[in-house]
Amino acid sequence: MDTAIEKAPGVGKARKRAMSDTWYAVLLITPASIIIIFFALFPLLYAIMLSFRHVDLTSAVGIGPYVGLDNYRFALNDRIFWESTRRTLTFAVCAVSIEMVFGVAIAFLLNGLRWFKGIVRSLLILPIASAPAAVGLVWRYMYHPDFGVYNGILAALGLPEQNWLGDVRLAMPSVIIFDIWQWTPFVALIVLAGLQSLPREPFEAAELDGASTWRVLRRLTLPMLAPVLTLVFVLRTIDAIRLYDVILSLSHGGPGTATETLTYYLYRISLKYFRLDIGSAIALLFLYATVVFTAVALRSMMRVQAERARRA
Amino acid sequence: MQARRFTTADLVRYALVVALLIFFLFPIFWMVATSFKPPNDILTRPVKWTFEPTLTNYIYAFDEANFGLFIKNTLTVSLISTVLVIVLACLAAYSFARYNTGAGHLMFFILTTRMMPGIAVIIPFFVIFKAIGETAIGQALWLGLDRPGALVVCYTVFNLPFAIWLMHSFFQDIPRELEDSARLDGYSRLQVLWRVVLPLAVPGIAVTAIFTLIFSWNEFLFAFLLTRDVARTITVGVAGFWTQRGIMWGPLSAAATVCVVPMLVFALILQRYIVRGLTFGAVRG
Amino acid sequence: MFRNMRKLVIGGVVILALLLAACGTPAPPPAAETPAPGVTPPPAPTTAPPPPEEVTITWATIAGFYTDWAEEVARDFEAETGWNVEVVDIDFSQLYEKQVIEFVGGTGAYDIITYDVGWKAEFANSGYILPLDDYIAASDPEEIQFEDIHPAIVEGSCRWKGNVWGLPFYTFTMGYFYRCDLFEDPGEMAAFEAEYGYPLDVPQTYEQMADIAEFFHRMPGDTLKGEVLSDEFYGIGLMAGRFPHVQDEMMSIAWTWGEKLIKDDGTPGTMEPRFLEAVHLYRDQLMPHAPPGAATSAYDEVVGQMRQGMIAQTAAFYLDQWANMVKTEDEVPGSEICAATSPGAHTWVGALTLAINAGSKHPDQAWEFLKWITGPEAQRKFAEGGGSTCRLSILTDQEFLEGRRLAVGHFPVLNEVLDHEAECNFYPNYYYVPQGGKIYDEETTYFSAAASGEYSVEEAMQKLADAIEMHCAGPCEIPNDHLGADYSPVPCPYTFDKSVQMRK
Repeated sequence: MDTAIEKAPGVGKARKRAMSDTWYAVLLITPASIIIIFFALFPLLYAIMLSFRHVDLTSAVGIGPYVGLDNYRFALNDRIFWESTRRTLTFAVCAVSIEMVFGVAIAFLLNGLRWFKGIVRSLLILPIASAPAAVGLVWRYMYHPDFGVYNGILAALGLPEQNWLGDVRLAMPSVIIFDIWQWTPFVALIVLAGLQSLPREPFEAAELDGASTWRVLRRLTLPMLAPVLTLVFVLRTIDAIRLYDVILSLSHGGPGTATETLTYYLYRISLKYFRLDIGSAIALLFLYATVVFTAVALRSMMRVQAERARRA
Repeated sequence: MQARRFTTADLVRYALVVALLIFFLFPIFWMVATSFKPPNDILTRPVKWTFEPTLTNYIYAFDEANFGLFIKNTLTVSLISTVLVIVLACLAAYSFARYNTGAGHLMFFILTTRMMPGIAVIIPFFVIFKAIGETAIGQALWLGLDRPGALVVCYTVFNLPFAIWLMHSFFQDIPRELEDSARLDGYSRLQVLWRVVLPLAVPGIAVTAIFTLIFSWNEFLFAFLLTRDVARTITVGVAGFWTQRGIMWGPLSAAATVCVVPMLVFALILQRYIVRGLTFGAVRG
Repeated sequence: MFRNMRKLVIGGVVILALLLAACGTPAPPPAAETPAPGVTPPPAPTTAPPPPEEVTITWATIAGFYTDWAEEVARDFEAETGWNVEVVDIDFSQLYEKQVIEFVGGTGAYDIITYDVGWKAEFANSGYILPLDDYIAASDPEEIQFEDIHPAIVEGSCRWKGNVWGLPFYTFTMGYFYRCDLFEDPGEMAAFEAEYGYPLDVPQTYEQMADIAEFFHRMPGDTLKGEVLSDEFYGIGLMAGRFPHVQDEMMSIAWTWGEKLIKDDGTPGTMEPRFLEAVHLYRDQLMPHAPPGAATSAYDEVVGQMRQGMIAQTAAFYLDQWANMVKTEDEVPGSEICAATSPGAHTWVGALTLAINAGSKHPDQAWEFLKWITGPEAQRKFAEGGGSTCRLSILTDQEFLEGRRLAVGHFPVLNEVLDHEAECNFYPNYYYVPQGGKIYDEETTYFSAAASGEYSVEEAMQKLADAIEMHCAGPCEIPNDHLGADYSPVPCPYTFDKSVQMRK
């Protein structure tokens, strides 16, 4: 594949045949690989190792002997683990589905705008760029039942005030509302970009055929948007299930355990109880589930990527 | 587009847009407003909408709470990790794009390293940085605990996978022929990369830079656990107003504003690149 | 293709890990020295003390205005010795893990650490802190004046298994705050007595507190002190959020009734009938009369509620918040704040205590600072700024208290509570249990769950019992035999005498 190079005057030095493409390629990925191997792979392997031992860092045991699959058994039998998983999934399903519907609607709305489209798009970026840990605290203040502005607005409108983060039934919805606020623009902007990059011909043809807007939407637009929608759905889900900063700022996992997601429970186990054995086991189960989900969902997308690379 | 009159449909559309903008921008507006409120007007019932703006909250944040240091730390860490990420990701992504190194498997593996919940690896990280911080080289490069270098490394590691995927798609869009003809002209492979490919990939670099910067700026957990006071960053500093003094909502809002607004401005300026980045490059902005 | 790849990757990684593991030594292990359980922790590292001008003493402590004030006070020390004192402040709800991760990682980063009562046994047992007996013996008694520290604090917060592990910096022992202008209003007093059959006064039992909470819970349109209300007024302010305060409030009720979180035999006491009654009282008779914000409140929100004129009283509450509470008098016209003991005065008693990190690089210098900041002189200056000291000489110094009501008006009450605890020899078992720190965190979760109604009281307390058993791996070990035969199994009766109050 490497053609003989004609040395142009003054370019390059005469040297022995340069290293093969393969070595060159490997060399290029080396710096990044070293960092990833050292800081991502090793801790991962260490966590795997810990998950097979009894580890209680603040007691005399420290890093103890091997206990086989006991930690996994404990995790899978741990009611709190399943409850927090259930909460995490509830959160993810509700938040992501609402964000998808809301986001797609906004995308269509923006697509039809004639003026100020760019400005509106720009302004919608703002929630995404806000630090969740910081803006979560601001939302906690806004949600305050006595002094918060949301209840202030409700009161001014004559509506009953809510105990947003204090009512066991409203706490998780309040967190979901926050997430919708922060991430719907994400969905909207991506779907908007997808809409804008759709080819024109099919739509013009449909218009000539006199198809109704609903028909066009169902048979033409949505199917063509399917890859984009899938991608957005997967990306949002992966991030939603790992939510932590927001829970810490907004509700501390409370009231009681009403908003305790899996990552929050993991924080408790690892950094309050320092039981890294159970913590690692749970984290690995979580990782496994995420990887499987991603692989399955993105299968088609990655096939396309690999093909483009092969063709190149 | 033929000119149309302003129809009722347009009116409805724009009314909806205004409502949307209010919904999405109100919390940010409220945060900024609260930061200028005198402390006694903050915890009131009913809510105070009008007030005499004051700078006391900002003064408190900067004087008493050492916020200037936090900003400096966050800036340092974010900028350096962004530069590192770009350099490393460009090299690796180019390799994946042009030479299909690892045939897609390696890339998938790199992506999965991003999925591990941070909490599970924080203690190994803590120990690693403690060990590095005790070596001479670690100290010279500020790589120990409670030093900016540790966070730089962390954020580089966290952002590399995403950055590699992103740059990968940008590199794939650059026509092979340009590179081939440059090689024929006698440029070495490195020169082709530097002179031909990278200039064309500038939008991709811009996207990567934006995301790395925003992510590093906003990160909380590792900054919280790997720093004490010397290398503390803004996000940790904001949370620090939740104290035994009583939650100081005024300075907290001021701190949050300082934390959030720079990223907002940055995002506004570069918004057209952001969509591309949000989808790992799969969708053009 | 990707299905196979996934299996391949996972399988490969697992095999690799097993191989690594089988090779024996784990990758960088945290330097947790296997601590000998209890009395003999590893010796402090002996390093030649650096020249005096060079030392920086790092002190990790709770973030708050008392720490700000302590930093001011510490400047005197810096001037005297030429050393540098670096204060790292950390929010209380994260103080535990921020310090423990440094211990577990063996960094020795903080020379002086701050522990709460519940963590004392754990830190001592795991060898994270140094026993101070030798240091105290070798120091000039006048500088320390050990007997001047209130005995209740010494026993509860400083001693464990015969050694002294720390010296107190300041205390947030609990008491009770109320709007005495409301309690002494003739109209309200008459109405109360008519309805409940006894005079309106400082509650001496929790049942009385519940009555008062119910009585003062008013709707818009009702009158309070003769004026018509436009907003709802609440009978009590509670810290029922998922913070480390809800358990202090609730346990105060249980302790007053003679119940214990961990019984003397080491098993959990949360399912005892009277214990459940205590939680029920909190949930069913106090919560309904608290503002809706109670379910997410920490102590500062309760202070905010009092200062907004929304509540009539607190439950068991941290006396050190007096200086904040008393500002109500400026913000609510005609109001006066009074302090009292909580009903029965059996409540959270303890101090934030300073100890020397076993991994510190300069423990001797750290000791100098510790001795100084907890010593009589610095504590007096600290008290002048409103800091709640534990030193008898200051707490009972009438001259000192004279004219300082706004800063230290709670000192007489604080002294009462401490005296009562010392007389009754009543110290909660979990202060001595090495798993105390973790149990304290579990308490937060489950008491908050009970208060908010997420679980029924019985369910929540059962889960708490399970958690306690899990952490102790069976019955908990309680090394408190030194408390002796007169260790009080039931609280001694107590009636609060209002004459100690400092009035406006």
